[in-house]
Amino acid sequence: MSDSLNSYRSQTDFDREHSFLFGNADINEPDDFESSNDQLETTSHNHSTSSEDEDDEDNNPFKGTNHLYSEGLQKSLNNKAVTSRRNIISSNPNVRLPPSVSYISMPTLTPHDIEYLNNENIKELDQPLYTSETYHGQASNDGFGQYSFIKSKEEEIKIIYAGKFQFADGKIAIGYTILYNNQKITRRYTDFVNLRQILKKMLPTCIIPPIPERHNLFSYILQPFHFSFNYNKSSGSRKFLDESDDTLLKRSRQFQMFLNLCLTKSNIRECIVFKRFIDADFANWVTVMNQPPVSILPESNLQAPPLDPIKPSPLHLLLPLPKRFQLNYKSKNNQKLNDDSEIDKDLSSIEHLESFNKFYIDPAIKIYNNFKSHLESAVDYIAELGGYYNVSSIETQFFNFHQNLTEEEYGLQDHSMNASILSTLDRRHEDGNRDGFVSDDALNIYLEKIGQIYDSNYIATQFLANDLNISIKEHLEMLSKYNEETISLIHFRQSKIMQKKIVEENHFVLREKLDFLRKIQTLDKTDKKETTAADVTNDLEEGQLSADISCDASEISISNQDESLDTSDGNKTDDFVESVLMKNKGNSKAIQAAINQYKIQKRQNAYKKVISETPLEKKDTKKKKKSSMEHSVISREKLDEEIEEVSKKLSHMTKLKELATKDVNEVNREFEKECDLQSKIYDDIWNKDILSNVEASVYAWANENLSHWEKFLSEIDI
Amino acid sequence: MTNQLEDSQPTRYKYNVIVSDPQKKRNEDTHDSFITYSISLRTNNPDYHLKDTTASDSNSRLPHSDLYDIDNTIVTRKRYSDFLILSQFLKIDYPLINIPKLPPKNNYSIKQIYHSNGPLSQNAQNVLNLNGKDQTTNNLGHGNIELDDGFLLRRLYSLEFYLNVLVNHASLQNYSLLITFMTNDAEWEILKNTIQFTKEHASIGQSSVEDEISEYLMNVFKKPAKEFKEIKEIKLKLEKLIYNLNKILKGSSKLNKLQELITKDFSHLHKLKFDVTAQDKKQVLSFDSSATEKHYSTFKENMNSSRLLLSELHKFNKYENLNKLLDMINYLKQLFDLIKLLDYKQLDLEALQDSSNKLQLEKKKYENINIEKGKKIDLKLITLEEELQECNKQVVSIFQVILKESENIEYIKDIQLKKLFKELAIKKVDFYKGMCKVWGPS
Repeated sequence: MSDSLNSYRSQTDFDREHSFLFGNADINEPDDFESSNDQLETTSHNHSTSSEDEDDEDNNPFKGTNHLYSEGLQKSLNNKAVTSRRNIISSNPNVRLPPSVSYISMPTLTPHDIEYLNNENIKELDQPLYTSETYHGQASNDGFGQYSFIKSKEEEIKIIYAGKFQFADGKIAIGYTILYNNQKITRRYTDFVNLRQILKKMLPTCIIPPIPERHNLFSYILQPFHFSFNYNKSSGSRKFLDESDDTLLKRSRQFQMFLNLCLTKSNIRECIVFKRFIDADFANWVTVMNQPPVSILPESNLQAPPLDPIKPSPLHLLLPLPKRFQLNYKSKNNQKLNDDSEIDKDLSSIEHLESFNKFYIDPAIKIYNNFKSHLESAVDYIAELGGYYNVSSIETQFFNFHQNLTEEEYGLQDHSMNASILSTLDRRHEDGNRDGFVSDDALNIYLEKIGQIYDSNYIATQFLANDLNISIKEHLEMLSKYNEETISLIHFRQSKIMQKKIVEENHFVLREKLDFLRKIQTLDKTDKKETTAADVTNDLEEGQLSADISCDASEISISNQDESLDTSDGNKTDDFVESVLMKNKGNSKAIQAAINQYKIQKRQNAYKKVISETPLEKKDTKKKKKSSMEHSVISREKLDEEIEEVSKKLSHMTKLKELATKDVNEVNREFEKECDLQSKIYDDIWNKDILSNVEASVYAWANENLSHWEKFLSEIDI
Repeated sequence: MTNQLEDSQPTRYKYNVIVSDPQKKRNEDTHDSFITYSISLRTNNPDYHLKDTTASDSNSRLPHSDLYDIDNTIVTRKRYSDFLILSQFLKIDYPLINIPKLPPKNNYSIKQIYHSNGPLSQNAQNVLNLNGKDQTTNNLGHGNIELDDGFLLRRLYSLEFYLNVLVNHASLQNYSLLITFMTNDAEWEILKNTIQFTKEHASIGQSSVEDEISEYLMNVFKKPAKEFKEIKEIKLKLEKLIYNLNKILKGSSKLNKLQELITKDFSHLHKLKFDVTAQDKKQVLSFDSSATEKHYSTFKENMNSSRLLLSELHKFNKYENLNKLLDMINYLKQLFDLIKLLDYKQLDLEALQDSSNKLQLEKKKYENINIEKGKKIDLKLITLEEELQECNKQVVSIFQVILKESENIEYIKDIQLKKLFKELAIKKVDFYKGMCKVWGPS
């Protein structure tokens, strides 16, 4: 009872002290950052000391962990859980922890888990907060765990803690505490996912490093005891959390790698969203998500400038969206397209990457999984074997009975045997004293030593298995994800190129039409009065083409007009709403957000209309083909009108074409850069993370075992 | 039975027997092929060097330490049936001594080996036959058999273990037939052909077996009222030891199986053709990574060589080390047979004592009443007493044999197990050294 009370108190205290940190804190003013940061440090310090005070009252201090079990297992577990939770509160000021009751009653919280949490937090508490030096020695949190041959790299950014937190929105989740620039910030898995999605949208030409996958139902079915069932009081929602050590460590490792890879890419490093993600001042990720630039991202990054999708020009919105199936489309027209070869190249590289995933990485992972399970059971057997050796070393001699033999016992048996037995015994004793039997115990020593060797071999092999798991499996998975990313980047580039091609085609068609119309005009001018049907029929072939073209063009112009009309209509009606909103703009953030939302919606509506009308175009062309045939004789007024229209359209299209070409060029340039960077990353992963690490750990493993066996051999030779 | 008791062993000699190099030979008259094994013996027991020295009289009087030298290795060549004959001799001459069991006859596997290498025998003339003493010399078919064959390897190492036990056994090491077997091919051939097992011998052997069986059936549920304390202790400790060794054996073989699986994994991985190098070459993204390519190919080579190392270790364990350990365990188990024999004898003794007690009671009963009957009982009692004495003697001697045997077995066990572990250690060191060399920084 007292435990829960205490924690409740601490929680409310905490709320009061830190309320400014959550949600509605105004974080746009830099002055506030400084002060809040200072406060944050001091309050957390205060808090850690206060929680220690409470512990003294509880008669449950950190140092007294040994006596905890004396009070019975259940109670000691509770105590431990509470202690650990308190520590989390004190060391991670930007999150709260759930009320103690729900936490303690969780069935899957094994003593081991608690111990893990406890150890972690005692470590953190013992060290002063927010100093970089203190984390240097903390090798256990570098993502490899404590059991590894691999020396951890000095990383710029680190995940120093992973565990349960209650976040600002009241949900209990696993949080990962990031240490960067001596600042700590806790993010959860969904935050990472969001970040990645946004980065992908904001930097379409960039290959964003992969992050670990979500848990699927399958893994839950396989290992139900790794998950705990969390009941959230405030919203009543239930959620499964995987809080096994392995998963936490693995994810921390991967997130750390993700963040570090992000830092190596200048694009991402400069990105404001990423900066905020690792900035302790933006503790509440949800607010970041609802702010620009995140909130004003366009829906499709194909209709935005590839380098800066936040600021799309109005022309970008008019760019056509190529469909998926069009990506493989090859133009049948005679237009020379120098992009064709590039597209072919892209296609082959996509194919290559896909088959690389399919035929190398996947089977490799499969084989590795087999290998891993074998290795793991081998580890078990090694442990067993070490035990057997040790047990058998206790007693190896079966002919060894000096101790229990007394004359009386023989007397109880048959007296007639006495003499002979004793004589043999005597002889044996003589033998034993003479030679040879000095080494009686040697076998014991042998067995014991072998047992020890197997024991250490067990530990070493466990290290090895762990290391290989990290360096092979996780990295191969990452490579596979990277390949997928690269494929999607290639797709993006292709779509961009397709876009350009469509624009070019349209442009070409328009120009043809204009030329044709002009030709007719000049013809009209020369042969004003001698227009005959024959002429028309002579030109029928050409006319047909032109008719088609004209239809196309007119449709486009119509749709564009529609769009402009729509938008203008919309503008009229929406102006009122907007003005109302603008009036209240200063008062609340919510309205600001609403305005943003509104604007986006408006823009999106506009796109949607364009998109929805494009398919109509084609149908209409077919229908109107016949009608245009009938109206093959075009009146002069109409002709003039059309020429004007088409030329207008053409200038429009020229602009679009320029834009698209520019975009494609930009994308291509970025693509080259990205590929260079990516190849470096590939090389890095292969060289350092996979090959070198495997070599290092196997070597270390072999060396350690070698030293043991060599020692044994040298000892037994004497 | 008293033979071995008189045998005393003043000093323990060092012995090391290695059985190796199985070769296929063919007797073309009978179209029989068989496999011979080369037996090399190193020992500092001068008895084993006597015949050798008469042949090449240079090193006739060498000090013991020099006899155990690699240059003084005695090499002979025997086939499996020779081992069978030897073990029959041993059984006749030393019925009470634990003689390790020979590896089983397996006609099917052997025949497969014979037939699989058939065409090789055509090269027989080209191959120099080192073993000119065989009577089939002229018509020898000869072929080197690949050491990969599991059955053959197992038999090889079992034979090696068998000889090592015999030679290290205090009571057997000076057995003249064994010495001949180990040192002199020609004499052994003569002995083998002249000494035929008479029916008498065979019947003795058989009857004793039948006796044992019937005895066993009779006494299967009985236990002697009094057990010797020492025997009890030996039994307990031996059981424990065997249990532990069995555990080790099982654990090791499990581990070994996994090693095999891991080897397979390696080879699977090695077979993956689609590798980074291909990725880089075909890559449109102009990945320049010749360094990675190189790194990867060395990595692959490393993996392959570690696979080879591992499979070598695996083979050693499977055919040699664990096989020998299994033989050892079986050998140790044979001591139980002897202990059982003692139990039977003790039961006999108890039965005799019971009847003599009864007779004595009867004698008391009839002492004064019926003198005739009393005399008869006296006579009976005397014969019974004699029987009792005889039985008692047997029990004592068996008891002594057991003590002696367990001492010998213990000695052999110590030596053999140490040897096994040393071999294991050497192999492991080899393995890890190889791994270090492969994976170490170049």
